Parts: sequence; structure tokens; C-alpha cells
Amino acid sequence: MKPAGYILPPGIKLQSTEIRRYGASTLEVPELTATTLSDLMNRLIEGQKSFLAGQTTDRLLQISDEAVIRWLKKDNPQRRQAEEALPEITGFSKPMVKVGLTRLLEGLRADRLRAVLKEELGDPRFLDEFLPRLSGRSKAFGPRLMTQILSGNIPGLSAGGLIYGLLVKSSVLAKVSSQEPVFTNLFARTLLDVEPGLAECLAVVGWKGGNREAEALEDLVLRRSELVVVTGSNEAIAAIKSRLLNSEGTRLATYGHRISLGLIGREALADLPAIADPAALDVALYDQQGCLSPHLFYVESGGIHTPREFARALGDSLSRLERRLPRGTVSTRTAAALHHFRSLYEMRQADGQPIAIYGSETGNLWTVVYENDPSFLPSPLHRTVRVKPIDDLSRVPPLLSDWRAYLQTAGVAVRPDRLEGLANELSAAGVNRICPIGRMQDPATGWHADGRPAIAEWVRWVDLESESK
Amino acid sequence: MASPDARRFDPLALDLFAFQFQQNRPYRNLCMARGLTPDTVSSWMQIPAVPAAAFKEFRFSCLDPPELPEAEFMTSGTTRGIKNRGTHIVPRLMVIHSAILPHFERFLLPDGARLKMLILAGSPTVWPKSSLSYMMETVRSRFGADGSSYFLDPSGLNLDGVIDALERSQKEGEPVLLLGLSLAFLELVEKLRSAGRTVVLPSGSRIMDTGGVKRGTPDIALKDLPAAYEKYLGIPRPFVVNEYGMTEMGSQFYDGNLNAYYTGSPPSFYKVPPPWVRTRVVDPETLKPTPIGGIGMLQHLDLANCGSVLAVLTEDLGQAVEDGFVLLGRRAGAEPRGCSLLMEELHERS
Repeated sequence: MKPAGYILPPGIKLQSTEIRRYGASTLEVPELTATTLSDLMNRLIEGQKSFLAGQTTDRLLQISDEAVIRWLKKDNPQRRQAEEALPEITGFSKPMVKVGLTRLLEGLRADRLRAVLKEELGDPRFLDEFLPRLSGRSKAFGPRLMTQILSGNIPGLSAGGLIYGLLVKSSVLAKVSSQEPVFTNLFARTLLDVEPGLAECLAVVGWKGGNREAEALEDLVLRRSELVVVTGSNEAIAAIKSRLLNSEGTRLATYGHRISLGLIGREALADLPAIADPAALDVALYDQQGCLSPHLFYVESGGIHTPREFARALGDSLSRLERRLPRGTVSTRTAAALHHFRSLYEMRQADGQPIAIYGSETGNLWTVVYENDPSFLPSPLHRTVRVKPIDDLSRVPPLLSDWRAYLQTAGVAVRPDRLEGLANELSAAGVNRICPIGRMQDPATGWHADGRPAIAEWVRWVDLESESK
Repeated sequence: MASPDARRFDPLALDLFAFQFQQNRPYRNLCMARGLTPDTVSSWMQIPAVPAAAFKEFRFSCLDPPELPEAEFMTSGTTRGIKNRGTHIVPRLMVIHSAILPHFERFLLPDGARLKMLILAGSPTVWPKSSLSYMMETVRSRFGADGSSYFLDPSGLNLDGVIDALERSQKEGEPVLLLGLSLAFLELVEKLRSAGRTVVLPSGSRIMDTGGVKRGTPDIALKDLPAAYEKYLGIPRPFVVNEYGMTEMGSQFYDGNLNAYYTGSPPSFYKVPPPWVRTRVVDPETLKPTPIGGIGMLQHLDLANCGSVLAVLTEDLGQAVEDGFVLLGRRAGAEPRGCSLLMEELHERS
């Protein structure tokens, strides 16, 4: 079966479609008109009322879990299609796509989701019935219709949004990126296979942004959705935000581009591979393209091994990882930037500056640069990382002040008695997640992405008060 | 001219390399780190190139102190407030001057025309550190007819002035040569379009545009410029010549289409290096020249860079053709870019 590039409730007719090539696979991509989109949104709002509103959270968890379990099986046909198509479309290597999908989907098992609902709402049953609270009773309602504007840069990332949307009993209109529409279509198809009733509540569409027709469609989406979730570049988010003004009643939840970093205390340097291996994994996963990927490591001096020795060990670890989890392909443009990054450091080193460069023998599959200059600089990524010595990790937070608005995760390796103090300083600097080195790409269940709750922000509470107090 | 003599180029390049190796400390350090010295290098192809970005932090000068260079051209640009300007040191302006004129004449004035120049860039009086301004003034003073003038200054582009001059040219039937930044031309055609005005410039009028368009401007804009020139200015495609140059280089490149038009050759929309320059398209992974048709980074060896460093590796992308290259993108890069002002972009090459 050829994957269709869209999913629509039965009966919604498209004026025209276009066949587009994505690597080796072809997709039939819809060309939406404002009328079709408007009909579609009406149907989804209707479907929310007729189907989703009547489902229990337990049942919805069962549906999503069944879909996730299917995807965790290696021979699932939809997963196999995704594994076949995504390397060519995204540039990630085949092992990376496989590992990435499994990691993301494992975090979406029902027990984990139930824990998130409990954490964020107090009790998952608030979504099903009015339950007693401090005074009176309350119930949580998801939006009747939410639109998710997705970016396609991390394979599998959109699964979580689709599932969370359904768990709050919200119809979901997923607008896929024109670069990578494949995964979301395939995963949504699995959800529909598990529960055909979802066909009225879940749609996947796409349009190419940046022109007047697209803006008309986006304006329509902004007017009619109760919640719009945008994942993408800060520019894309700003563009949506600027157009939200005349859409009263539409809420916006945005997840923009972020930067992360690692901090390694001198006490963690006793066993070099034991710290370099997990650090290398943090760098290598998703080829450093994720918002949780470290741009650089600050390493404390005064330990058994020096920060420079750590840099070399990190290179060794990246070199070993390259065999198991190879870096993906990059464009000529990116390859040129990676080469320039290295060759500029080569010039500085030749000029006598205290710099060390460790890198793959051929190409620029990975590069570690050790340099004294403590300033925080973003990396060109694709497994390119700076290591900077620092005499005390408490000097790092002030170095991050220019990047405050973009900070996401700090991977930290320090003695337990130092952790809390450092965590407070990093929090004050704008970091919103602190985790062990090696776990940067593995946020805990219920983590606050960009410092905010997920589901709790999506629901609306209704309070039912009685006469007796 | 089209097939420069390799037997003469190699000795010149190697002599210059040996001179720069001796005079230019940061360059010598790089060469030694790579084990490539005048003793081991036997062909221009082995001469080590410095990354263009290195001009931002190293002074590549071959002068013996206390001698001062005649000019220091600077790029503009800041990245998140960090000063980020590249400097190209030019001990003798005469060399640059000699590199600019014949190549410009060959590709812009192959018919020997002497035209009034309308320059959509700044003059050296306003931007004394700009290599582009220097080049404009060099060609204006040598080839420009009376009444040639500049239309850009720090307050912006004098659109009314340009349009007046264009309409006068149409009325008087006197062809003009428009030169300037693509971004400025984009502004001009936008203005004409929104005002619903078109000009039909007299036959023989031509355009030289240069430079990229800042991220955020739709890609389509740059690609559509030649069609817009035809529509709003009445200048047909063969008379639109794209130029490629950089502050870090004394020489420039032009598309060969206007020259081909006058010499009756097939149209060639690619850059042909002057005889004193060798440009290779280099694979960024292997650093080897790509085969014809391959895409890679542009690496230039420019004998006009005699007082700085002759071999420069850029982040500009190109596609190799038989006797030149097609320019595909300028300083693309994965480096983060701050929120630059429009004027800075207008003078990306200042």
C-alpha cells in the first residue's frame, strides 16, 4: 500500500491532489482549499462530540497503547515503512531512525501516560467526570478541536502530541511539515486501525507555508481551533503569533528551538570512559539536532583527569559510536560549514593558541574542539562540540546570560551534595531541565518541556459548585 | 584569455606563495602545521588555503613594519553583538585596480560602450572601507560617462532619484549601466511594481547585480530578478550580468552571458575566472576538487591578493563547469546569525 499524504474523515472530498516524491517513496499530497478545510474542521468538531467526548480515559489509553505496542514491534508494516522512508527524507542514518523511534515510543506506553495525567491533573478521572476538589467538583475538558502545526525534524516526535490530544478528548488536526509528512501519516493510520471511530476525530493534512494561500488556511485554523500547538523554528512561531491577534478564544502553545549544554564536575573525571561514553551519546543522538542536544561541555579543572583529557576521551567515544550509530548525511552547505568550523580552529591552533582538535579521520563525522575561551557559543551541530575548561562550575551560569530565552536542558555530572546548589544557579540562568549526563535525550515521564506542563496547559477546568458549602 | 597559460601561472603562484610564507606569520603557521611549505609545494594546486572566516581574526599582511598598507577593506556584520568584521589588507591599490578594470570591461562592456552608470551602492566617500565601493568607483572613474552617480547612502536607497534617472534615460534615448546590490535592485523593482510604473530603457542598457539576499527574503525573489528587470526596466536577459566578489579577494567574477551575446557565442550563465585566478569547486568532505557538474565549496587562488594571502577557501557553494563555476549560494553556513539591520545586509560586502 502506498502511504497517502493525508488522512481525512470519510466523505471529505478533495479538489485535487498532487503526487510528491519523498526519497524513495511517493506520497499523494492534498491541495486544500479554504472551503475544504472549513468543512473538515466542522466534521472534526462534530466527531469530538459524537465519539471522543463519550470515551473514557481508560479506553483512550487502551487505544493509544495498542498503537504504540504495534509500533514497538519490529515487523509492524507501518513502522517498517517509516524506517524505510525516514533515513532518506530526514538524512538520519538507519540505525538512528530505528533507535530514535523506539526511544520515543517507549515513553508513550500507557503506564507512563497515566502517570503524566495523574501528575498534571491530580487524577486522570477528572477528564471523565466531575470529581470533588477543594470545594465543589470539577472536570477537565480538552479543546473540542486542536490544531498541531508540526515540524518534521525529529522522527517520531509527533506521536506524543497526537496521543496527548486524544487523551484530553480533543479532535486533532495535524498539519505536517512539507519536508517530512511520512511519520505522522503512518502513525495516525495505526491509531485509526486500532479504533476506526477515530476517523471522525483525527485528520492529517499539509500545505506549503510562506504564501498567501497558506496564510489564508492558517488564519482559518487560528480562528476555528480552540488550541493551536506549534512546534518549529522561532521564526515560524513568531509568524503564527503575530497573526493570532484577531482570533479571540484561540490559545497557543509553542515549542520553539532551544539550546542545551553539559556541565561536568572534577569529581566525575576519575573514570574517563564512564563519563565520556554517556556524554558522547547525548551528542550523537539525533545528530545533535534536538533541542535537548548539548552544544558544548564545560568541564571543571582540578580532577584526576584534565578537561583536555576529557575532550580526547569524548572524541574516542564519538568515534566508537560512529560505528554503532552512524551520523546521517548532511547537505553540501552544512558539510562546508562543518569544515570551516574545524579549519578555523586549525588556524588558531597553528597560531599557537591552546587548542586541541579531535575529529573523524575523513569528512567531519564528529569534531571535538578543546579551547580555553569560556564564552558560550552555539555549535554548528551534526556532532560538533566544544569542550571548555572552567575552574568552578558555579562560574558557568553567568556565561549563559545572552542565551537565557533559548536555554533548555543542562546535563550535569557532580557529587550529589553539589547538585542542588548548581541546579538553583542554572535555573536562575534560565535552564529548565537538569539531568544526568547520558540522559539528556531521555526526559523523564511528565517532564516540563520548555518549563511548562503539557496536558495541564491544554485543558479547561469547569467547576460545578453546589449550594451547600 | 579564455584558456590561461598554465606554464606561466604555476611559477607566479609558487613565487607568491613563497613570498607570503616568508612575510605572513599566521599563514606560515598554518602551512607549517599542514607540512606544506615552499620546499614541499610544487604546484598551485597544493598551496594551502585559509578559510575566509579567518580574515575576521588574523591580520594577513605581507608588509614589513612599520610600512602601512594603502587600504584595509572590511566586511561588516555582527553576530549577537560580537564584533565580527573581516579585514583584507591591501598594500598596493594599484594591483587591485589592475585586477578590476580588464575583467569588468570584458564582461560588462565587450562592445566598448561608455555608459552613464547608475550605482545602487555607496561611494567610497561614504564607505571608505568597502571593497565594493572601491570597485564601483574604479569602474566609474575609468568607464563611466558624465552624469554617473551613486544612489545609496547610510539613510538608504534614493529610489526617487534612481527612477528619475531611469525615466530621463528612456526619454533621451541614452542607454545606462545600472550597477549594485541585488537587494537594492529588489527594492527598486518592488517600488516600480507597487507604483504600477515601468520603464523601457534604451537598447544597450545593462545591469550588473551582485550579492545575496538576507535570510527571510523569499528565495523566489532573487531568482525572479532577471524577469523583473525585463518587465519593469525593459532590460532583456542577455544584458543582465551577475557579479560575484568578496572583500577578502582583489579579483571578481562575472557571468559570461553579455560577453557571449556580443561575441556570438552560446549564452553562458556561469562565472569565468580571470587569467590570474584559479577557482576550484571542492568537496567539503574529501577536500578534493569535484568532477565537472559536482557541487562543493569554492576555493580561490587569486594572484591579485599579493599582499595578504592568495588562497582562500570560502563557504560559498558552486557547481563546477568546464571553464568556470556556477555560483549557487553565498556564505550559507550553519553558523548562527544575529538580527542584523537592513543596512548591514545592504553592505554585506562593504
